[in-house]
Amino acid sequence: MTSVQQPPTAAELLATVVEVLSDEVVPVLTGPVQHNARVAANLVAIVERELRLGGDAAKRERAAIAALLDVDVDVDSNGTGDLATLRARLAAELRGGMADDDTTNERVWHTLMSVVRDDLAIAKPGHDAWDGD
Amino acid sequence: MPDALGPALAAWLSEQAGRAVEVDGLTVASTGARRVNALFEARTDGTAQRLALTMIPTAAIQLLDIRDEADVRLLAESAGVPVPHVHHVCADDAVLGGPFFISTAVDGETVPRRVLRLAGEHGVGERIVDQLGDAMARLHAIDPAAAPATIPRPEGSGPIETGLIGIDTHLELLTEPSPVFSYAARWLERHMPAEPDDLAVVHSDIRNGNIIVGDDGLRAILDWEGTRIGDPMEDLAWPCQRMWRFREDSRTVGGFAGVDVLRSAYERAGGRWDQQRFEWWRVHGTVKWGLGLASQARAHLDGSFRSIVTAASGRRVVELEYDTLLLLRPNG
Repeated sequence: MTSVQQPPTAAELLATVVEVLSDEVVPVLTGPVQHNARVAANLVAIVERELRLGGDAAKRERAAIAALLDVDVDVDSNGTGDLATLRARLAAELRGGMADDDTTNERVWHTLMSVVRDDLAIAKPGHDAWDGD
Repeated sequence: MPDALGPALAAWLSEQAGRAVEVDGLTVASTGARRVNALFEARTDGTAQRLALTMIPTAAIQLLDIRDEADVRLLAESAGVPVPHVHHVCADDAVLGGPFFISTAVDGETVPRRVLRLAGEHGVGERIVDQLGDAMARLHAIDPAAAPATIPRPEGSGPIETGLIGIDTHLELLTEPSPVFSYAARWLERHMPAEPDDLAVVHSDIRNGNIIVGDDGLRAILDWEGTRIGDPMEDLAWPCQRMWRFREDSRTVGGFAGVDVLRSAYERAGGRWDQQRFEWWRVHGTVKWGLGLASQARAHLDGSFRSIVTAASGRRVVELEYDTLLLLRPNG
């Protein structure tokens, strides 16, 4: 997806769009349109973080799931196709009882938690600051 | 909402009353995919009454027939649950463009963050949870046989089994599989409690966001379209979801107060608390809401309800995955 363009990078452009939406557009709007503009700014911020963090997060997830399923994968590959396949397989195995014993359960829980924390760093930084319940 | 709504409403109210009724100051309070809520003043012979109009955009999307929803509200009200009194109900699409009912307008706050601020300023957070527990016990004491025959009932052996089937059905619909929710579905299956001895009329969406609160505490419970026959513990677990605390994470029930307050109020009013089912429904509700957000994103993508808010819902699914894992932490 990388093409050589003059700066700013795609992520830097989106960061700028977030600034304009949040600082200049949202304050002059009202009602439902203001709400939608706020959501728009938030979504652009998510995409900006995904561009910066998504590649490494996908590599970590692929390696983590491969380890749980005990399969060999090329963790340096940038393809997300095999990640979707791995995730589908893990989901099916978990529903089927793969983590029923306590040892596997604990290992699976920690792996899932680390993957979810990576996803939160993109979608909702700070959501994992609370770890009660 | 079309400008013609006011006159159409006035004409219909006049017909019902058998004398001239004027509709003043009609303002839309909220517009969602499923409901339009508006406030107005009805004037007759020099007296004025503040009323609320709740309209479903089209009968085709009703979860519950509007007449049954009105009956459920009246039934709950007669049991002592705070519900805005329903004055009129109309199932005819032709009058206003969709089925509607008209109820007493109850003053107070409904927007969750403002509700929490109000509760904090007046020190009524615990009181609100106490009142919610009391209201739920009263609702659950209603004989389910008294509820309209059309309201949904559990399938199979009961609400627990029906709840698990619902999760598996929605897991199958996910565009992108979720290992966390599949893991949680297995947990739900392995930890299924015994079905409750007694079923009850459950509201299914009592939470911060569906209540009217004033400086004196809880004033009304809203949005009864999801009412069904089920396990009362499902109602008690639902407002405890982190999603309904609106950042007041340490106060489990709606950001107001702890579960102990809810439980003691519920039991004091005659409700029977079951801790095992409570914990099961907490996990169930968290997974259900995560899967619900994913389905909102699908509705955006397939064009059935296109909106930037439902698009954003897809990226909120992970919040519920995290909240689910917190509830399933090993050895704790």
